[in-house]
Amino acid sequence: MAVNPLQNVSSILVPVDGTSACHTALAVAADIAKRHKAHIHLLYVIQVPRTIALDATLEGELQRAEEILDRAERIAEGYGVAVAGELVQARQTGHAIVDEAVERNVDLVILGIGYNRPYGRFELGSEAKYVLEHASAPVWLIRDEEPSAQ
Amino acid sequence: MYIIVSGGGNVGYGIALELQQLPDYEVTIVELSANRASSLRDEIGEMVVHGDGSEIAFLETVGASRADLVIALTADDGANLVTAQVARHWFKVPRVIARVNDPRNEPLFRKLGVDSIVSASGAVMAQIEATLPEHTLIPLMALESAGLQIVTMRVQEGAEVAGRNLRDLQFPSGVLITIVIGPDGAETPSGDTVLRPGHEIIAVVPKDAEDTLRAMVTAPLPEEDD
Amino acid sequence: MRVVIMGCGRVGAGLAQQLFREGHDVTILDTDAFAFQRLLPKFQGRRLHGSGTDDRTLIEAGIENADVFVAVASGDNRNILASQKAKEMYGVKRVVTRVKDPLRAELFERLGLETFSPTKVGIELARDAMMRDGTMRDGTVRGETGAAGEGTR
Repeated sequence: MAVNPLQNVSSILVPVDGTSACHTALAVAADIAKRHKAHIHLLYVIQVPRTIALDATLEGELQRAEEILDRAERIAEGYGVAVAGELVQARQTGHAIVDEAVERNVDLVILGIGYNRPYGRFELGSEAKYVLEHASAPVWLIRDEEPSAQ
Repeated sequence: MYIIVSGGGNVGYGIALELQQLPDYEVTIVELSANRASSLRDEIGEMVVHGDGSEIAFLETVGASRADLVIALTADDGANLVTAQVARHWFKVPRVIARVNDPRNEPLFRKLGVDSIVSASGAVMAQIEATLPEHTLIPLMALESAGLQIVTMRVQEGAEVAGRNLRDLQFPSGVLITIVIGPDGAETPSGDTVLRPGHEIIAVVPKDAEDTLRAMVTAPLPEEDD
Repeated sequence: MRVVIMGCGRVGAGLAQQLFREGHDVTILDTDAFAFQRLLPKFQGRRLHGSGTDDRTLIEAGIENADVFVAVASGDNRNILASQKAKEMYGVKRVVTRVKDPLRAELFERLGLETFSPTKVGIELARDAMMRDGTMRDGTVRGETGAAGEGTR
């Protein structure tokens, strides 16, 4: 019998931003975590504009981040898996995800992205593109349903 | 301390690498070429931004209003002069340094109140050091591909080279003495240049020759008694 | 008057010819000798191949005795560098600088250059033309008239 490549997955990074795509990513991660006894790390990145210091306290953003992380944690509990949530401030979300994946030594990144058409055409987005190109761990991309298909 | 460096050439890159080691320093490198910006970003990460460092609207987005230091290091003197004046007069940045590529432009920069540096990394770093007094290390810049380093060192009293002219000195092969800075300022050295204690030397040095060169400019250790 | 013009584009060439017709002593510079083909043969001023940011070229163009220096080359930064040099280093009394970016034009005006921004003039002309027949007025609340922007989702 072929070896299931997921057998060696012991930790999974799921970046969250409160969108349905990231919740789908979380559901997939929870499923793998249960089967293979893996840990899930949630990451919320506050992207700080360069006009303010990187370590500035952004009350509104922080509150929103906590809410989104709390919601993701409750969703994970609903699936019966424990998760650890982390909140970081960075200039670029993609960089922060890649760094976190290295720091946590994760075996898999599952990234949910929206069906984004910023200029009237589908765009993967620079942050997702950056993660795909630079993350050392494997990356699974989960794309939302196309809005018109809903 | 927030520093914006306009120009991601070798000098800008070297400075950014030095400064990012320090706690509480944040550096943004602005690079005009999309290709260069992208390859720099792969190497040193999110501190690199693709944009025009002489464009006011763009500088606003990278936080020029809160910058403590702006360094304009592109190969274009016009861009550097404009960046420096925009930083100082539009964004009220307290300290501004610009690189002058054509030395004939230096008097103009000075007249306009822009601190300028003519030479490459050694002098740039010396300027930055003066700005950042807590940064005591004399920084070196590595030219990795060639196996070379740019080093700055001060001639010490009693050193082998002190009081002698360059022609008579046997430096390790590959060493280029690029600039000698004495009390009268910087000069391009010739065979007749006499190295005096206190003079600062900026040199390009093969990595394996650095120790030898350092020994030549520093005072000998007291001989141990047998 | 002795006039040095930096940049032989449409504006530089046109200005050079007009000033020459009016009897001024005109020298026009461009980094690309090809640009001089914009000048009609009857322009008898001096054409000089070189950069207005370069001291040797400026001196050859007679900057030390010029009454007026006009920078209308294509790059804002080069125009500013050359103009500040003409004014600060060579003491040219009248220096006029084209700066396309309205923000930079405003700043360097404040710093003592006489700048003009064709972009700003163009924006004003376009806006005036739009206002002319009265259908569009000052202070129309955003989104009050016309269709709402097409959403992306």
